[in-house]
Amino acid sequence: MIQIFKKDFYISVTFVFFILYSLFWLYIQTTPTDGFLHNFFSDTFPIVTLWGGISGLIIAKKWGGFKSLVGKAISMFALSFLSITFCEFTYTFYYIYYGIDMAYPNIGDLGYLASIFFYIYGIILISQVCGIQFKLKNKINLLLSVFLLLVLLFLPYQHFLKGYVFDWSNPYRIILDLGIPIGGAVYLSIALITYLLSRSTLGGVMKNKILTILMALIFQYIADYIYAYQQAYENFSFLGIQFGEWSSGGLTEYLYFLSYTVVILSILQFNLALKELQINKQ
Amino acid sequence: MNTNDEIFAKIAEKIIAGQESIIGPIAIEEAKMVEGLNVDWKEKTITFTGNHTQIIEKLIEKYRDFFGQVSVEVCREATKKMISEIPKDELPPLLK
Repeated sequence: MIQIFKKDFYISVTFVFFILYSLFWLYIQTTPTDGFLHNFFSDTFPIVTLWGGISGLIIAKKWGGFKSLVGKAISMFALSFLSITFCEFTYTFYYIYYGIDMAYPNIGDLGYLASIFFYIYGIILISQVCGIQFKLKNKINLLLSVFLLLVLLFLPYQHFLKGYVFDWSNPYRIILDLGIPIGGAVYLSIALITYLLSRSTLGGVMKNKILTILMALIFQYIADYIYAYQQAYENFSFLGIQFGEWSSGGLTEYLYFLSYTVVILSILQFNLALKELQINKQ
Repeated sequence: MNTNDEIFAKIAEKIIAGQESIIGPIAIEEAKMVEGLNVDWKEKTITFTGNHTQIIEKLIEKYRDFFGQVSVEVCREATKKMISEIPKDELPPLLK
């Protein structure tokens, strides 16, 4: 693992940032939850998504940018990271300028919604790279895929959308309230379907890198789900970990930071793949 | 270039173009490393030095190193309309 970080500049920078901010987060757990350090963590950790977005676009160009499936897929994830950055910094702006904490919904949430759609398109492109289009010609595979999608859509419906009251005086909020959980279920189902249908045929040097992306998206979805569940139900326990009310620099926010870092690292390894291929040539 | 050369050149071009649409310019670089395959992608000129069948086989194997059997499926998909023009005994095994 250490060798990987030594080989690639982008991964190394991301990892250093992750270590520093993780240590910082551990430290701030000993300080008041409404204090400056907690807010500082909350306001600045999106630097990792900004870095992921810029790095991703640079690496995408090496793979052909928008002219190739892989280049386009990396670009979509990079744009997703930039959208998340916009969302997070907008919340910071609302807090610092207007003194409003957790100002949902605001224009920044549009960035978060956009990030989900970029994830969806990105994972669709990854699934095409994995040859899913050949597998879905089989009707059984197609039916199973639809079934999996419906099952995964049922979960957010059951927890967040059942009994949802549509307030048409605020259509923007409706779009966000529905779009975020549904969009998350969609990208998760595509990631799982891609994994299940491609594992027998996906091989070569890119296999583990693709699988890492799929696993990272599953982890991202879990972080999203925990956040949404926390907003809806406040105190609950997951895998033995107690989640209380959301707070800046709290456990849920660290989970978000961790999940973003994992997805970013999974995308940045495409640059490492280029180096491995160059080494193979020599 | 005789007709057989042209057909195999076209097949190689389809394979490389198909892979380029997935992995970008790396596809061209990898093709240029195949022994016996001479690629001028700007001019879309492809010539062979040696057995066509074996060279095409090596080209597909090169791409198989990327994504495994998936890459082979892409090569088959890209060339399926031209396969009938090749005598069966000259068809690269990976395209069967």
